[in-house]
Amino acid sequence: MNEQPYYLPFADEVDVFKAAYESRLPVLLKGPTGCGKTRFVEHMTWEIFQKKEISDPLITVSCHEDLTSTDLVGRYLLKGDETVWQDGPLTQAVRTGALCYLDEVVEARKDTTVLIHSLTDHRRVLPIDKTSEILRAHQDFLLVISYNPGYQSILKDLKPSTRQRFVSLTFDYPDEELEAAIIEHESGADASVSSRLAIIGKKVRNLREHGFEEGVSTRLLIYAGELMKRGIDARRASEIAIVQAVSDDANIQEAVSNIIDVVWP
Amino acid sequence: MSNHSPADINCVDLADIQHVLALFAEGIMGRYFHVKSNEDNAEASTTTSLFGAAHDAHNLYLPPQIDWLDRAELNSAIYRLLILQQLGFRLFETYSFSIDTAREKLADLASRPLPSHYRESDLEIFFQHFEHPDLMRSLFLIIESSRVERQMLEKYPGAKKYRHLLQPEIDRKFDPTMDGIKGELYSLQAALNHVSIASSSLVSLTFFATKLESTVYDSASSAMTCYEILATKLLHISDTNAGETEYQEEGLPLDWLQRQVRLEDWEQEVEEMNMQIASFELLPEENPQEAKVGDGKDEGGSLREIDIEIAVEREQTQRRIEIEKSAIRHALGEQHENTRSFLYDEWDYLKRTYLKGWCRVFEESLIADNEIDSSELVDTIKPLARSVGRQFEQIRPAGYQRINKVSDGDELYLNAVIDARADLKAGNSPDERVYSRRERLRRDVGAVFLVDLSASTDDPVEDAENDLNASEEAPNANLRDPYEDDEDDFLSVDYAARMAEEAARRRIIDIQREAVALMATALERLGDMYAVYGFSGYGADCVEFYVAKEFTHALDKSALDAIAAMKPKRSTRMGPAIRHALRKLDGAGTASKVLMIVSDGFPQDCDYGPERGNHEYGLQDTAQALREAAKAGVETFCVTVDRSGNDYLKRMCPENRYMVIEETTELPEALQKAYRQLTMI
Repeated sequence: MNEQPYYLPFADEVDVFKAAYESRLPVLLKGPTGCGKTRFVEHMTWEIFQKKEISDPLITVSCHEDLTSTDLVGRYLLKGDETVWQDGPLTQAVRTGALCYLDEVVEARKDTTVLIHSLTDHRRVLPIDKTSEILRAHQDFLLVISYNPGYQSILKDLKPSTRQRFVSLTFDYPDEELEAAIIEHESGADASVSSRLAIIGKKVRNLREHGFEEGVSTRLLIYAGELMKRGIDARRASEIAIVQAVSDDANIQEAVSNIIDVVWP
Repeated sequence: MSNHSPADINCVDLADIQHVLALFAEGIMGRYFHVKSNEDNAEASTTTSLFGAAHDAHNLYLPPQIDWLDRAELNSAIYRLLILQQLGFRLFETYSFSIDTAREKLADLASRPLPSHYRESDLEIFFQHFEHPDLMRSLFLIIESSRVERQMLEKYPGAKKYRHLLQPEIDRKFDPTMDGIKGELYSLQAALNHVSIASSSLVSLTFFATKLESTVYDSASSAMTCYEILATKLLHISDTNAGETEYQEEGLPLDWLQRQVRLEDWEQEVEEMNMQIASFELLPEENPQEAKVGDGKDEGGSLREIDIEIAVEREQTQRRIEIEKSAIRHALGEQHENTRSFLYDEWDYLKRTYLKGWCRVFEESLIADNEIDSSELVDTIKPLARSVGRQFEQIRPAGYQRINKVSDGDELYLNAVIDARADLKAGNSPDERVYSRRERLRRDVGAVFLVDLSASTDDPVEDAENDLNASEEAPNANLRDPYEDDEDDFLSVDYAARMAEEAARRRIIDIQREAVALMATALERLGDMYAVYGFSGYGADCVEFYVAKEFTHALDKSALDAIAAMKPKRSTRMGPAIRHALRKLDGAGTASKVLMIVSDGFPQDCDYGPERGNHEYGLQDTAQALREAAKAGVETFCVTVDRSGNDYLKRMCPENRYMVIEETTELPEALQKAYRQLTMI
């Protein structure tokens, strides 16, 4: 990471994260998809690790429902006539002292969340059953997880026993003005376009309850801005980047499309 | 409810797009509005819009059809333009008008005596400052509409093209023959709406109100200037014409609109006070001596004193809200706040056609009041819950299954590894699927329990013997129809004794609640997704759909309280309730879908068919709704406690998809059996 990733703070989250890292307190980021959690982690990794000698200071795992503890810890591979052990991303981070970011952790299978328990209390160890190893975490290692309480159903909620091992930072979509500034910076679109995109974001999020609790992410608004900057018509760019992405429900798509239609001149 | 010519393909029916329009309005405003035809509300005819659009606190009223432009998508866009015009009054703060601010800003107004008023809105008080308040009201509305439209089009510039396309229609509607004060007002409105042939000397006086940064007070100021001119003209008009100062028709609900908005402000205040009180409650107990009220030691007031003061103020505000709500309800009718509404077609078997957008279903959360506590319900079902839960647990699929020979997994699968090695030695390319992994077995079932909450579920549960006697004594009694009361019978019995006897007996609704609660606890163990809804209502435009538990909600105390809060209400319009439940099931997105209807009688409502006593229409509509369910891949099952149910259920439901319970107390067992059968376990 040579360049500082752009991140516009909305409150005291940067200071809180630094303080948490200094005490090696694991961090839980709550918030909807595309509101800037991953970018925040990248930004903080740059802030924390910029002067340290480590080639991969941030290891990100996007969790999914088939992700097992094996995928995180590691597995034996067949190599020629041998079976060889291959560290998983979590083990690699624990060994090298990187920041391990488990994105949308509740999507993963339950055994993975239990796995991280011993890493998030005073022990800071990772037991690896298959190699009979108890791996002590490197002093620079920190675990950061994220999830979206609104999006996941009760069937996929984070257990209190897991949640209470982390300090929590809650994220939401930035307000209209801040979001316009972010869109302008990230997409390179001009101020007036960015401001209109931020209005669309706000209006479309008013429909969050209708089967797309996620709303429209800042990321999608940036995509629309980028497309427009490359000459795509405003309505067409919004259609591609926003309408099709927020919902598969034809009525919702039509309503979002109608909102976009009146916002653009 | 419209009947335009099918050949008119450019005509757009409101019923066809009302759901999308409601979503559009919600996106713009951040809160829900019911989108209704202006035919649904007499008040809606009084509007500032030239096109019959109007609004109140919870509704947007629009023309039932629009065919003004030569393309259907443009006519749809005109609907959205009309919505923006109506929402503009809220977006650009018409109702934030404060009489105190107005008197501060407008010297001419302050020079007039403040009229005596009681509970009127501030706008109404403003109009009452003048000798002809109707004239002032009309002027203000015309100018304010223009201001709001100007600002709306600036904020939503995409709507400008639709406004432009609408201009020929506005020009066409203009009637230059209107004269007198009415004609002056009409010309002003037409001129502000850019009708080219309309001219009004008053337009130049409204300049400040139609600037981009103008406020509602600029409209008020312009209206006052125009008023002076028109009031002078009024002096020269004969007495017979003097009364015709109001260009808009009688009863424009502007006063009520502002009072509704004010109500929302008060409710917000109560919410803030609740938060303040809650924050005090979180504080540690004070020293008892300090906490004494009025002991004179703490002149600034202790936290407890402040707490009490806020609580008193909250009580007063709440009382004020209730009184105001009652007044608004009295003036404008049932408000349906905190609900969403959906239009559904109804099957008219006599004409063999669907009646488009015929029924309006209001979806409302069942929230238990303070008197409702689910603990009694939980205690009642507890003895059964364990055994039922165990039965369902037995049929739950085993937790995990190991899948061998996969390309990704937690263990190497030895047989596959040996095969791979053998292949390599033999010079063949090996199969890379050398792992095994554990996979959880899941049921992918979504179930809706739809409970009939008609008035007849208030009937006591009859045992077989009593019921037999009852039917001998009163062979014509119709317990299923709450509208067929026999007044003579009612008067001939000791009413108090009968009430006491009935209170002691269990009612059909009690059994329904218990059966549903029992199923809910069982399904929790099984892991299926399920929702619990009730339905009732009165009339096609007021079908009520009550949400006790949604698919995504946990069966916690609030859900159990909501089930306990299910109570007998009004009629049984089953068709639209089924159609709405299908919409819910569709949204759940499970592979297998089940709809279980728990009822106590045939479908009936005050206007469910051409003849009130004839239930065939309702039965046919319900049968059609069940056919729609089958078409959508939803397994349906009707359980009724009406012993005469066989007669109509066999015509209404698919074969083997209904059950008539002889004894109401058998309902829980019947539901379980049917559920297991339907989900094939």
